[in-house]
Amino acid sequence: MRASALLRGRAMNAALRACALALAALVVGGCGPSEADWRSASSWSLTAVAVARAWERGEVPTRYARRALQKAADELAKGPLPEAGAPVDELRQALERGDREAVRQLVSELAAR
Amino acid sequence: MKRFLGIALGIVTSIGGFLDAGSIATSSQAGAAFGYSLLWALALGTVCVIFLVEMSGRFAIASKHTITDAIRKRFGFPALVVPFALTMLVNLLVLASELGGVCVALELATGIGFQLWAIPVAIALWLLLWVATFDVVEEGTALLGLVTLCFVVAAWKLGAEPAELARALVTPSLPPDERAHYLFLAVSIVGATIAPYLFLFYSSGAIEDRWDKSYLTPNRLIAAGGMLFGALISMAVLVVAALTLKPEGIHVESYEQAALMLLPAFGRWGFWLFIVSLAVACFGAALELSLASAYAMAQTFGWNWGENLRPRKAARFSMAYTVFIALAALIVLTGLNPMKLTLFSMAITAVILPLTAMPFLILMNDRTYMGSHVNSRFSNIVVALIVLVAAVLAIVSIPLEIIGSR
Repeated sequence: MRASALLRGRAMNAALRACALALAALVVGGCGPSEADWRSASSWSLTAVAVARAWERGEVPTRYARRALQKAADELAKGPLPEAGAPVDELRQALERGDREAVRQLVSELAAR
Repeated sequence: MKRFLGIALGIVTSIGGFLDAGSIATSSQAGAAFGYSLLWALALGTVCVIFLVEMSGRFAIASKHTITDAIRKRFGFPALVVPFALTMLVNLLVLASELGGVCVALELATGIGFQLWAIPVAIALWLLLWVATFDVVEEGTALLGLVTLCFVVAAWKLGAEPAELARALVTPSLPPDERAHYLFLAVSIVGATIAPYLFLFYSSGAIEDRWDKSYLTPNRLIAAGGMLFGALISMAVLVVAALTLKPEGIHVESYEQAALMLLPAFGRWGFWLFIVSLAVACFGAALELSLASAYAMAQTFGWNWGENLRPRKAARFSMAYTVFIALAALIVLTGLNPMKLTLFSMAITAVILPLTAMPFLILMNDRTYMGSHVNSRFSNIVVALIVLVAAVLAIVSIPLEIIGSR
């Protein structure tokens, strides 16, 4: 009885170790950005470019462009490359100042990335 | 002449009232992500909704009952409890999506956050239901909804190829990647197109308008013509997103992105046309949904009901839509992303569809209610097949979408 209990105990330990390893693999594997995250980040960068260009052409009002760029910057900051939010935030500030030259310059830089 | 005008008005109001937050969100996301390749889902949903809406009108005419009322009488209240509770829950989420759509349109126009618009819009919605008659609610907002035809004009201006569209309509094809998201969008599109509140509302409307057997043919024409032309607008939203957002690499995750889609076709007018379309379509849908939910509640519990009755003559019916609107406003106030809420509520609609559609199908084959106007075998097969396939796809794709978006 002592032997079978010992064996059960060892089997249980092994099972527990296997579960812990599987869990760790899941956690580690799930921590990295998914393909959907990268696609979303790319989409928000391109949205920022499109919004700024539309603003330059006078097709969208400044208050919409400001909010859309803020949203894009926030989404990028939450994504796999948080530093990508900074240039979009700079773009938003240039737009708020009405600095078309700065907007044009920043849009070209963003579009080139 | 009067009957002809009635049919024409019925078709026009169906067209104008077709688009809502669900159609705009699902179609714009589908077009931006996958081009034309989800048009088949829209076509499938449209075929099913034409059948369901026509059946709904025919049922009201032949039986002089609404669907909910008849389900309660035929199957008993206990059988109705679970489908009723789930339908009410989904209706609430969808109502919150529609309300959220109006609020977002106002945010895009004014720069004032969408949550701050929740209470004023909810009050406007409630006030209109409180003072207006059924005709004003149904026809007024639907006529305003004709502004959504701008998407059809945009699709034409952008040079959408009819042959390519026709091919995509009838040829489902899985993309090489993002398959879980593709399937999720497919069921969301079907859920947005075959929303149960639509055909339940239609049967209540037929009773409110006192349709008799002389309306059998007009009902068929309104169901087919209205739903078909209405679906063309949803398809146009998908096509426009495919032609303007997809080439730019923009995936639609929020209405701020969707607002860009009409700019290439209309320039600066495109921005305002999108806002007005979103606001009017969602407001109209919110009115219908509030009424549909109140109808369902009143008919389930056997209360007095009717939008044409003064509120004090149908106090519990009026209280029902009041409470619904208040709860939906609370959901919007939480700040949940309105577009994400819309997409998930459309997918969940597809899951619960069989719970409403199947009892309805049984009634449509019951001569006690239908007399000689029972369903054909073809109608039964088409509806049962589409509803079941949609539900199975939804059960599979919703968890995959949740896992994929973590």
